[in-house]
Amino acid sequence: MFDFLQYDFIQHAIFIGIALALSASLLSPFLVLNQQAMIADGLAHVSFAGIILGVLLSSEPLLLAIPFVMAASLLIKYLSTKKTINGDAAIGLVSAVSFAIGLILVKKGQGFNISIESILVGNIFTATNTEMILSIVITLLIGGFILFNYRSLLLMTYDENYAKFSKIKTSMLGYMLSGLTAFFIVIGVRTIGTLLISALVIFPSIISSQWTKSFRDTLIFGMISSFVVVIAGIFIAHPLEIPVGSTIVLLYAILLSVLLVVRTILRR
Amino acid sequence: MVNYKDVSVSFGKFNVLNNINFDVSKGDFLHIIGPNGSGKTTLVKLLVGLLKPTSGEISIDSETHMGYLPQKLNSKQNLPMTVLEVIYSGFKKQKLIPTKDEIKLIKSWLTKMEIPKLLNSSMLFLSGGQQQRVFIIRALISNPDLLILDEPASALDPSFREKFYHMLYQLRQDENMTIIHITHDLTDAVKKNCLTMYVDQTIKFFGTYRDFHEFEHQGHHHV
Repeated sequence: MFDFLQYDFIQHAIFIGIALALSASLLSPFLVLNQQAMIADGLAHVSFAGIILGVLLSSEPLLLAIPFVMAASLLIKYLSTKKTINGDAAIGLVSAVSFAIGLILVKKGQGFNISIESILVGNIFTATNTEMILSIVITLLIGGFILFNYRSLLLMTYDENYAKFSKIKTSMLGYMLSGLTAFFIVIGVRTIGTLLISALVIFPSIISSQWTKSFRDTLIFGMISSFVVVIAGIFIAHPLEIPVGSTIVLLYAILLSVLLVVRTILRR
Repeated sequence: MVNYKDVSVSFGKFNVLNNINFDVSKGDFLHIIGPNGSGKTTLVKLLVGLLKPTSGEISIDSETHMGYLPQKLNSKQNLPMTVLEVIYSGFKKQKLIPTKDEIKLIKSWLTKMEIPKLLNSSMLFLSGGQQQRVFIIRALISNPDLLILDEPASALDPSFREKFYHMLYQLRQDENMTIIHITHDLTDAVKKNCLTMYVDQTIKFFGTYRDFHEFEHQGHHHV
């Protein structure tokens, strides 16, 4: 039954899937529970332009796309500190402009064999070695960042003013969090797709916060649930020949629905 | 310990505080009172570094460790956080996992504040008064030199309020803690040997509570 595990491309997919599941669920509570869920969605749109730019200009598109999207994430963060621009409006502005640039690049670069569809839906089974290495790098970076700054990030998420009073460098940590999110999103767009990658960030903490009491448990159960869902997604999608990204998102949705129903019944 | 020199704050054209000058010395207990919108909260936000004065200077002795209870809590209401997680954020140095001694200290404060069983409870399911006690503990847990409380008693029930003020008075006596306390109601507050400031954009009165009592009787205002 597990014969397909012997193939390199499946092993790569599982490897990248685990890396992305862990990075996304580590970022999740610090973004989603801080009303920044849409930053992942916005950066995915930016990645669309970034990856097309990368394909046009380099043989390793990601090496160009990553700094491009990281720069955009810092711009979003900077714009949202302006009193006259809301955070969600900043995301909307930057992502729409990037998407527009991306579409023009696609039109002008038609000789380069860019498939819009492959960028929109991604493909985890065609991942390259570079993508695999980068996915390990980002997991380690995010893991290290959160491990070393856990208490500061936690307080910043819970009560930004009190964090400032406690001399936590909230603005620097915020920029670093956005930058790392951007890095993660670019890799995720190549494998899960522009349209669905933000779900990987949004679902874990929403699912776990339905029944956890502490922030720590929300983080840990988010990691466990996304690990299980992503692996299950790959195993289900491959034999059925359906897109992995969509399968993962639907599995998350089913899990969340079940939890909501169970919670409602238990509270009666 | 704390010195305000010619401090003014304005938001656009609106002057919130005008030409504020005063000193607080080590071991002082200062009550700040004044009507709504008089700039009381702005006055202490300057002190804890959440606002910068438009003009003037505020100096605080170096090495002063502050504890702070904000008036309006900016904390996210839908975020799963336990009482332990919230109180632990008040420690000077925090580790990834709190030590046994740190937990013991938190437990002793929970008992003192008469909420002994809430250590691992979710903040989401506590009453307003219980939450307020948790935030008071967070402000006190690191044994600060300077404690700043912005309307701490508003959510506390009357019987506990009295005990709470007694506890503050004791802290000041035993630890020589300096306390700055904003309130709109001095009824339950300890007033003996305390300084009182009446502020309404400017300082209308600054002195001992006994003198303030006279100032009040002259019909300047009533609390």
